[in-house]
Amino acid sequence: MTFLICHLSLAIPAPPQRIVSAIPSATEILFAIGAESQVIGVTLNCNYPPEAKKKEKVGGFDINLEKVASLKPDLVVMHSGAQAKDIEKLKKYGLPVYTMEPKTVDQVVSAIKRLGFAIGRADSAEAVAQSLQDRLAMVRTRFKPGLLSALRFWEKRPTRRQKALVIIGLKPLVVAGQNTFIDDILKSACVDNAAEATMGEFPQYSFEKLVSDDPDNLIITEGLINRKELVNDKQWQSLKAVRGNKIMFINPDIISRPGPRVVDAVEQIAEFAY
Amino acid sequence: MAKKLTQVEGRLLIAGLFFLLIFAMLISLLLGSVFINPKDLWQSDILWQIRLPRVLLAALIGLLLSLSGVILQGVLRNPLADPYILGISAGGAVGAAISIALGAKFVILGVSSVPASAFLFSLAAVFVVYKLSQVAGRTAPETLILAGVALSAFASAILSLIIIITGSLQSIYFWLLGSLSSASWGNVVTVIPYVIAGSAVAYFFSKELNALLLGEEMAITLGIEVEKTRLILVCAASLMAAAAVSVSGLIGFVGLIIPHWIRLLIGPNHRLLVPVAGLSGMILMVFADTLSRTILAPMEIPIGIIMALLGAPFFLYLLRRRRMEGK
Repeated sequence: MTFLICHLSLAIPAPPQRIVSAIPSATEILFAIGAESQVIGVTLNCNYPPEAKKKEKVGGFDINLEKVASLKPDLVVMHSGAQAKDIEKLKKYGLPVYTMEPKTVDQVVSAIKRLGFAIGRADSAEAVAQSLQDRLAMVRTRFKPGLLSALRFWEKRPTRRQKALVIIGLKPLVVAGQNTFIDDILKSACVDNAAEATMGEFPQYSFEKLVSDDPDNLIITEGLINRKELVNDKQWQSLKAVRGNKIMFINPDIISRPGPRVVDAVEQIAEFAY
Repeated sequence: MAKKLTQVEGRLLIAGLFFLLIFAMLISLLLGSVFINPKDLWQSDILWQIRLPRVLLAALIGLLLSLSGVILQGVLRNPLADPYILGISAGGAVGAAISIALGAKFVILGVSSVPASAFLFSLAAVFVVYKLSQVAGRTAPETLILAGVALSAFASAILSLIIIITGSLQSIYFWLLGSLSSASWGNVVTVIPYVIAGSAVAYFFSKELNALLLGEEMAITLGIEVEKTRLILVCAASLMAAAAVSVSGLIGFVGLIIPHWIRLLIGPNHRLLVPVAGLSGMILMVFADTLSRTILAPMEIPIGIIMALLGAPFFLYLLRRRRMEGK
């Protein structure tokens, strides 16, 4: 597997004690590995865990570089893809920058270990990563359909892989396509993505294609529509997932942020689908 | 220059376009991202619940936008006027963005929140523009256009602010590109009153539109209450455009190009221009939506993109040809 997850721009002698996290997923990781006391700044979008909201804010999607510099951080955790320009500027200031960009569930687990190592919490990061891995393995053994599962019927394992479509926009219909982070979450939950390969990661999708594919499950991000409105809609009633009430509403943060909660998403989706 | 058509030629043209429209709609019903054997098509849910309302809605939106464009180009005496020039698009976008950003938490009078709030904000924008450009009880077309441009700039700043604050860029962006993908029978029923009322106003005011085209003094001489007529026409055009925007987002070009193009071809007589432009808008829209559904299926290309890709080069070609003939 190719990793371009992290590189340290400067050698860090002692564990950093004044960390600014410029990505919500990194904030979640830092809090999960018990580094709360080392974090001094987060973004406006860092809403989890709730204690993260008490930290100093350094901006929203665009971070305010002056604010970051004024906090005198000894490490700034950034997203290597989306924040490339700001990374350059911070380096010019002479601030140590740590970058990460996990793109799959497995990469999230290794990103946790690496970040933990970089901030002197290798042990607790290792423990968190291990428990996430165990939970992922548990999902796989419980829900992975196959020949054996039919034989070992007393375990009530599924015999057929479920299909699901993850809807992130209605009016127009926008879905999570193949090879996205969300697609990888589905795979980890032993569920097939019903969206066909298309150009673009999050394509505007054909409703009639959705009706003709008729996936087993619909996973809809919270806040788009409420269940009642959907179930009462004539067009949506042509889907068996709607008629059979196999509709799941999921917190968009846990399927879009490559942090520890993706494993919650994996478990929720697997539990729901099987 | 455009030939002057006789009455018989005009009627033949309208009949011809009508049959072309029916033909285009039938073809469009047969095509989609999923192939259905024409034999089974009649029993298919996809036909009745998805394709048919969508094709009908495409045609109706095409009618609304092109007639709205015809009226506004006439009233404002400006060939660059389109249904969005008085701030409809900007207002609608802000309305939709607010409601997308707030999520699906509220429903206004049984209509889901995004279209309802887009509709209300579009009309509010036009109202503000109209009021602002009224000086001593009179509204000059130029002032209306300038006020529309200014309000649009203001509204797009608010739109960007909403996007930056809430981070709902993607859903708002898709809305802005325009799409018929959420077409349903409900949408069709929603727009029908506007289609009927709007077409009726456009048709029965074609004499007044012709007179306004000659200039205000001339129109007064011909016994037309210019101010009142203008208000009625602007109201009708705005309601049509707002209804279209609320169900399909911002679909550009059809309201600009169709009226302009048809005027180039058959001349500025609104008696003929209104029905011919209306039918042409319907045909173009059905055609463009068919492409949007099929080219990259199962992905849909927002119809606004198709419309601009098709419309802009064709428009330029027409303009050049006219200028060359004029010399």
